[in-house]
Amino acid sequence: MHTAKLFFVVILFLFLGSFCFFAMAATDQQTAFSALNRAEQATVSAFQAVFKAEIIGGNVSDLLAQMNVAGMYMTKAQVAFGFENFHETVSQASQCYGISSTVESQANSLRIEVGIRDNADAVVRIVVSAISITVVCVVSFLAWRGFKRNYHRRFLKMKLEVSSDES
Amino acid sequence: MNLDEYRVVFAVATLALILVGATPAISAFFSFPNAANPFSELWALGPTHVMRDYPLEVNTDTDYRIFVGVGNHMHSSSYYLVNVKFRNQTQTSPDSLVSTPSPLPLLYQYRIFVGDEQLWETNLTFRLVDLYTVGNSTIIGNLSINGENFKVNSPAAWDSQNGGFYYQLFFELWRYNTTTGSFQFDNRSVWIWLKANP
Repeated sequence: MHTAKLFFVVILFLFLGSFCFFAMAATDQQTAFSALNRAEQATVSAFQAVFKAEIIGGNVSDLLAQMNVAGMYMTKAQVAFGFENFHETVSQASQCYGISSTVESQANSLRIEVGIRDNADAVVRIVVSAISITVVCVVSFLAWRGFKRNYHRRFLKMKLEVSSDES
Repeated sequence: MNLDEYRVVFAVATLALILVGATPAISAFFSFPNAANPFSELWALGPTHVMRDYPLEVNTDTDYRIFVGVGNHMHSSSYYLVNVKFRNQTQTSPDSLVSTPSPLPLLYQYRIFVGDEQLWETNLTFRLVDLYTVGNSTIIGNLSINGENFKVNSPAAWDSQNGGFYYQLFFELWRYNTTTGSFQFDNRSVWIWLKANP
């Protein structure tokens, strides 16, 4: 009877132990999966920010170099996840997430910086054009006036010649 | 020329100069798109950076090195995935005619960010880990890529035409589409044939 009780307790402990083990493993897997997804989203989000900064003329080569490092961590995280090394997955995915987040904020700052620079540049271009057009119009007007006066003067100085047709 | 004709000449010359003067302002608001067709490159080269020295005949437990590269001519930076896959002669390969990737699971993936008109290249080391013969076919149990073992369990029947057991290590290029917000197969794939020596 005593042995049967002991056996029952051992079975109960084994059952509970394995349940806890699998529950913890499932939690680890879920945590790793979430970390992987979060890192993947971060890389996409960072790339979109970099892309927008580039479109308006920002120099993004340094940001791309950083993103390649993030991509390398992401690859390592995926491999670790495939081998069910969830601790390593979380570690590598976190590295990827950290770099991607930094790149995203740098890209957003760059976008603002380029936007300000572009606005200033546009103002300079408009002012240069306005001055150029004004100068062209004034010079052209003065040149035309001078030319017209000269033309009339030459016209008035002309001597009339009367030719006779005797044929 | 009479005065009216001179006036026309002056007006045309003035308008031309105004146009030249307005160029800086015009260029601030308009940009001219690149007329060339955007495209991406994907390549695989042998260990000495040429195509002719691909490791065709491969033995078990020997490291083989190849180069894989991507060229970006998309007129902007691109986010690429290079998916590494493995197949035997009967399994489905990517189909460039209908632009579909292979349905086989990926073994390894590179996530890369390449600037416009920039190239990216890396070397990839692979090794057949478990290669054994069953009857008239071979089975590769594991394939090591960059030091990581991946279970493939891929059988290959004897190819009597070419005299060997053939496998293919292939690479697919996927690109992040900023318009749709998802990765799409870029219809680029390269491969190397491997003749496994059991």
